[in-house]
Amino acid sequence: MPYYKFKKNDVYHNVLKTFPSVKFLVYSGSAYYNNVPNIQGAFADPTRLTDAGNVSLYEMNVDRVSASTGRFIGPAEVVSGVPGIPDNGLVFSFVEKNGSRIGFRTLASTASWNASLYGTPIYGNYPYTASISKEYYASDTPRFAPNPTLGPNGQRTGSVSHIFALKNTIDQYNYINPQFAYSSSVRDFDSIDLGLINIPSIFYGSAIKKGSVNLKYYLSGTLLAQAKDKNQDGVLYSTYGLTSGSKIGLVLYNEGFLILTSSEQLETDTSSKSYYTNTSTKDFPKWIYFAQSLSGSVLGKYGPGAGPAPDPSVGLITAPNASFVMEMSGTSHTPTLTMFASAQKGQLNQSSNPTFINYTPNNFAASSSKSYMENSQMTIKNVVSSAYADPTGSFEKTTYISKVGVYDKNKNLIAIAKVATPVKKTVERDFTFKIKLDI
Amino acid sequence: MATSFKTFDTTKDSVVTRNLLHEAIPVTGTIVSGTYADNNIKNYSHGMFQSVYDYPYLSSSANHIFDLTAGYPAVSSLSKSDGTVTQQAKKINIYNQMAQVLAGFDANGAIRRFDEDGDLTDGDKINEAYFINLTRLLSKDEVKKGSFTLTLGVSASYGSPFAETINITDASGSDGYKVNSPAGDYGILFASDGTGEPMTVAAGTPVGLLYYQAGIAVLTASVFSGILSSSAEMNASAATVDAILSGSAISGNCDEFRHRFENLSFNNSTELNSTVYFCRANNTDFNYSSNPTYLSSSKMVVKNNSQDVPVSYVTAVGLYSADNELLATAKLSEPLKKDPATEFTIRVRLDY
Repeated sequence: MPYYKFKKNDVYHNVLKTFPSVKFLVYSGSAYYNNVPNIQGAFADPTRLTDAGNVSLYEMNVDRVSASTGRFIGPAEVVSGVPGIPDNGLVFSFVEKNGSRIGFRTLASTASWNASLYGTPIYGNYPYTASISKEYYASDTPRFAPNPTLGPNGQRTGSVSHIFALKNTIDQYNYINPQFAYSSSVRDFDSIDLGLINIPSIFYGSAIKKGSVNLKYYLSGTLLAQAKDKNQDGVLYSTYGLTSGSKIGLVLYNEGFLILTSSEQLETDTSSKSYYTNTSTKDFPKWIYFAQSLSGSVLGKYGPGAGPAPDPSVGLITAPNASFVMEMSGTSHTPTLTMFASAQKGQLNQSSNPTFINYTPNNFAASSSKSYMENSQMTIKNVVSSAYADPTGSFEKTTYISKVGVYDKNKNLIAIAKVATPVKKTVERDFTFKIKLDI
Repeated sequence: MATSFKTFDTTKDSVVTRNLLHEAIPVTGTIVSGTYADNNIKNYSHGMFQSVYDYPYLSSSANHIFDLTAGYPAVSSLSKSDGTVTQQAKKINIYNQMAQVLAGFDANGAIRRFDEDGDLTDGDKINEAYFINLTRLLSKDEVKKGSFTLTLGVSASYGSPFAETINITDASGSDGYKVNSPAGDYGILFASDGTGEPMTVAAGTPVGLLYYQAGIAVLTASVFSGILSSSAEMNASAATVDAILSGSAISGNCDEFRHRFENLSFNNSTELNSTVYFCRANNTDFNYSSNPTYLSSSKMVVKNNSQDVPVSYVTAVGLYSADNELLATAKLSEPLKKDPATEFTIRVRLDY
């Protein structure tokens, strides 16, 4: 088998940039990712132990439920007095405490770590999930909460809200559009009503594709309003509905956040009012309430403290008549290796395949203790077609290329590319096979 | 972007560590033997093994958990030259394939057969064998030694296989494993009574081998006959295990094996290799910042008057190459206040 060395221009490294579509439907407190429903299994509901709007990282524990079996996996006692690994029907991870201080974030406290014996298992849990979330900030919601007690070195401690933590990130895009300003003469994120939607990067990859965001606000199944980032600059514009043409929010493409700022009502009919926030007041649909039912603001259908006790099957949701669709494209980079393998004229016209030669009973090689002799009279099978079954056409050296092997410098076969159908190669023909490998 | 760098003393400031991350893997028998009406069992046209999934395999959520197959060598008493054995060539090929990978070859180039106690020079061989090939998804880097337990129903009755059970474990694996295999470490699988007392041999009788890195369990077919007071009926026709090993296809053998599969559990291990860098910020180091927000109107924002000591807040640690190229960044959960009165050693762990 002949080997040919790739020349300088025969091998290329490229990066394939793809834009996978992402769609979320938010309804009745749940999100559905790319129209995948919740599926009930034989044991678990839902099968993946997480909602359809969530990504399960390893998809372990499919259709399993936790139930004590009384058994242990391995010895019943790992360290004196410390019970072994329980068999509860679920796959779960664990590490044994050692000097490297490795552990899981689920560890209760540093004190419990210190108190446990070396060799004690520290447990993690599957599934690992990621999901979109919505936070609503009223104008009077504190953006940061200072701790009245100063730290040991006199420093001010406390916590900040997610929107406040994005202050520098928002401001850094000000050069793209003046709308990207946390605080300006027009608007201050510290003192307006706004909604913040967080999209984990596992859904979109490197970044949300500019110009691909499409938000739809439905009420009772009817499209009420729609918004897009039509200028591809991160500013969301209403494109349908009462507020059509106005700016309704911002998109942080690289960070995966949507900031909804429009408090204009999307419907004038008072029957469209619903409970969106954790107050006793109904409100009209507004863009700041987009995907609000994800926010965790749980209300009875009659409002807090009013009407009969909420029925968990119907009443414990925000905006029960509203549904929300959020569409966008992610960005994924796939490095690829492209190789051009050439079959030149006059080359690759011989095959070591046994069927390449005519079969005769004397084809065998004669061997003895002193010699090995192949039959020198073997003839190449003529596969040239003609209009007649016999004789065939005039003989012409012909091979059929069915695959291309890629070897490393030590002639180890590292990859094989197969063609869909064998390619006829004659002395006069030359081919270049384009081989692409995702890496 | 750092403007000053501190060079590691590689003899004192970094250390390579290795940790083991484990997973507990229970495989409930009902998944293997009937919950999904065999929609989670995949048979192939080649008929040489059977794949078991934890959910109907047409679902994208299904995970491949193990393959099952069976075989025996040409020297087995089941091997016949009269053509009466179903798939004999494949059964012999399966055994040879497994044996040459897991047990290797002897000094004459012949394939070694599986040895019951791991002593290759002597002792009984495992001729008729069932093979459980755990997928890499479950076994990861290796099956944790001493954690494997397989419970098989061995009741004589085909209709109630779990009326009597045996437990097969590698109980001594944590300190009694063998290393004379080309496929890595392996332990001996021992049988003991589970439900009832079906065994006629003493508890701790070797009945198979478990290859930890390969994730393959080799079980002698005697677990359904020779070690029991009453041989198990392996199908509705009350055939013995030898009868189905010769008279049924490999897939049929796997079906009947699954029929008696009550429970499997083990722990796996994954190696986490890490380098820990001790980044030392001495009292006179890193008390100033080149961050643009550090200064306002030519004054340090974090200082109230000019007599205050310089102070900075450490938010991240950058690891640079010898050419000052940024290779990795470690972020702190909260900024650390740094001034000439304080020193830190920030421990940065890089897993790979």
